[in-house]
Amino acid sequence: MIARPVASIFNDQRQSIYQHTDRMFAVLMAIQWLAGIAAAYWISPRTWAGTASQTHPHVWAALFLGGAISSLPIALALTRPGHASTRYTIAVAQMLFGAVLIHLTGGRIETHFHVFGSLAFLSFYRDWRVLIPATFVVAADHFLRGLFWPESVYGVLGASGWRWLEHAGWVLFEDTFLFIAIKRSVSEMWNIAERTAETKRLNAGLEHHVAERTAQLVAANQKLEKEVAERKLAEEQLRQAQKMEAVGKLAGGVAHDFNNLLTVINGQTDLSLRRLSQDDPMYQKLEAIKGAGDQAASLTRQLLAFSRKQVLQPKVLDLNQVIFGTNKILQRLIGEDIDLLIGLGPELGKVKADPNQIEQVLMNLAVNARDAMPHGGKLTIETDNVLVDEEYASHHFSVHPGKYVVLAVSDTGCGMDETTQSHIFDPFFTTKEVGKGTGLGLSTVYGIVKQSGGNIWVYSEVGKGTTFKIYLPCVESHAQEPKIRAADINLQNGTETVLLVEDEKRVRDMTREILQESGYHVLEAEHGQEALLIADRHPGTIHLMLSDVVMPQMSGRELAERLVPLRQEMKVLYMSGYTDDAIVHHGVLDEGMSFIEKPFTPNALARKVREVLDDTLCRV
Amino acid sequence: MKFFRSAGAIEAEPSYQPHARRGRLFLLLSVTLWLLIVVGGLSALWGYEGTPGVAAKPPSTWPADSQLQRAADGDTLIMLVHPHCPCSRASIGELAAIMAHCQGRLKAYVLFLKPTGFSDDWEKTDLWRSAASIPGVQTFVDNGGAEARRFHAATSGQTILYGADGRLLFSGGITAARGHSGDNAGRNAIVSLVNAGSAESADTAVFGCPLFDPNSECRKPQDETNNF
Repeated sequence: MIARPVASIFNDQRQSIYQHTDRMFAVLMAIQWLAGIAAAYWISPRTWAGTASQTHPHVWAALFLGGAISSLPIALALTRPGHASTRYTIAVAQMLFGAVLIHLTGGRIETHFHVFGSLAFLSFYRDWRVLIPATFVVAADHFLRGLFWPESVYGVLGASGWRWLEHAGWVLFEDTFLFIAIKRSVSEMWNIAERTAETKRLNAGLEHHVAERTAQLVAANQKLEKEVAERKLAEEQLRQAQKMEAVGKLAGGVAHDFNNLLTVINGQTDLSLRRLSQDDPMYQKLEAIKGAGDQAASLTRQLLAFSRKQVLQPKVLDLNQVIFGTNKILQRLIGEDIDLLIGLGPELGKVKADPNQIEQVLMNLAVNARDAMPHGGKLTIETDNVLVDEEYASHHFSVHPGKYVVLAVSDTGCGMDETTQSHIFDPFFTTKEVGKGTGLGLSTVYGIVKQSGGNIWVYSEVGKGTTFKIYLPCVESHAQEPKIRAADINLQNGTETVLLVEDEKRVRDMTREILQESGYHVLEAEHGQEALLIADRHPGTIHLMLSDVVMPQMSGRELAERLVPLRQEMKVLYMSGYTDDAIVHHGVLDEGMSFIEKPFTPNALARKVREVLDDTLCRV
Repeated sequence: MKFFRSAGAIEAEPSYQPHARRGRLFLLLSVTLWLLIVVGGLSALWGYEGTPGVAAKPPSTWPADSQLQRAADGDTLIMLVHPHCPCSRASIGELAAIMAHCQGRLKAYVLFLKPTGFSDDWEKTDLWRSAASIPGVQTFVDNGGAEARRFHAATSGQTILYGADGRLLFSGGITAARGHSGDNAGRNAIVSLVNAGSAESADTAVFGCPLFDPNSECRKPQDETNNF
């Protein structure tokens, strides 16, 4: 399995040795050449003929012949290192240079060691084949000279024709050892290549393992970071929820008593106004009191709204119809300097929400947009169907995939920076001048949307405008026909018997007064036990029980549950300024229940009582 | 032993690209031309080294007018040397070998030519010192080449051997080539003559620088007084 990598590593190493040795020989050739010239000049600088002398031919031979021998191998070593042809040329040249050196030194026996030294040097290549041309040159030199000029090599004229073999034999003798040494060296190189390949394979495996583990750690780290971020977000949400819970409890606590007080104030004021002529000097004063009471009631509602403690009465709605029904009010609200553009999406899905609260949302956003466009601009309200997929939902906290209806309210106002955007839904946060905003508008919107199971996002650019997008989940039901608005119902009186249960005496008195003025026969109880007693003793029919929800000892819901089985013809209408979970779940009124929110006006109460009495589907 | 050619990737010769064929041809031509030049140069060098000088034709008997004292009880060797001839270094070396082989049975003179008009010590070169250091060898200055002329020597390294009776036994060089040390016929002949009284050859080629200028009249034998 590892033969190929081993061969590749071995080959690379061998090629490197070839090239390195080529370069060494290039240097050696140059040194030999210079040494040859120096030796020739030192040993035989001049040749003489009597008194005349001239440069010795050995000097010229060293210079030119030595240069010629060295030139090609040096050139090949520099231009084609590593090639076999370069090695073989070097081998031939090296041995030829040995011959020249031997001649230049007068055939000294010591110089003959150059031949053996050169063979050893050639073995640096670790290629036994280079020994062949080198040995051939030596053998050919001796053979040819022995053939044509035996005295120059053997010293005698009549030397044997085979004597060159004696000289070549000694060279072959050295070649034998060099061959063995080269083979062993190459074998060791192969072993090293095998070990290197194995090491590389292990390293590669290790690197792969490290990379894999690193990727796992990165993934784990990313997951951890995501979890930390989600945890931080969840903690932030929890803190926000706890804050809202605290505010809600505070608001609820205040609202319960405060709404009872406002019910009395507003109700008595209303009743008084009914009895006075508009010319009466007290009329204006009562009007002012009523106005202040209404404002206080509105403030209380907003407190309950942003703390998500108000009672919603959701219905399946067509948002387009809600917007269509409020456009005139909105136009009046934003004034003439601002153009109201409404784009209603076709075949819009239905949503389940409290229509009054949606109107509240629209109006709050419209007021906000108006205040952001003091010099006029455009307010655009659009609706459309959107499909939130898994990917989008995974990147947005508390968003679940599915079909939604989006309500977008955009203005061309001054816009908001990011810091402002991060606080706009906080209660009591406002950028408006003191006295111009309560800081509850957008927090109310946020509370209503969240309480309705939706989400709200804001997109804003300073100087360009702001867009609020409200996503409300679609429901697969038909829109309920909007009931005739309370204000549109003609005030109708009645003669039925109403059991009024209210622990707050002033509210009870005022409510009784309103009901009696409307013609109803009123049975009055301060708490649940008394109501049960009255009901038990009353011989006639009790048509309606109008009960407070939050009461000591027995809640309105418990009372109804005990009394209705005894008087099945009796209908129930709850009234409250703030309610706990007695009749609502997560702020949503139980299906089929009738409820009137405190503070209420006499007319509103009379209409609601009439409506409940006339409703055939009313339940406990 | 491991089979390390398994992948067939051991061939170190990089594969040539098809377009590199011209380069390979150029390389072949270069190597061929290089070999021709080198072989030609070596042939010229060998030719120079194998070309002998003018061989002497010494008198068949010891010249009576020679200032040298012939040995009465043994052979006498005379070598004529140009003191600056680099080729004669090998001859001096061979003489040392001869003296070593003859073990005192040979009297040897090495005469160093000193042409007229040259400065003192012109002849006292490393050759002089080498010759003088050989046991049994006496070195002399041959002023104007008088002795060389008496023995009809013309080439440095000319070696002449006379027997105890004054007869010429050998004349020639004692190197196989110009300035080339090692076994040679002249050395073998002298050693054989001294030790055995006979040799295969009595004359050999002389390899060395000319003792006299080619156009000089001093090449002709003249009667001059030697200052030994």
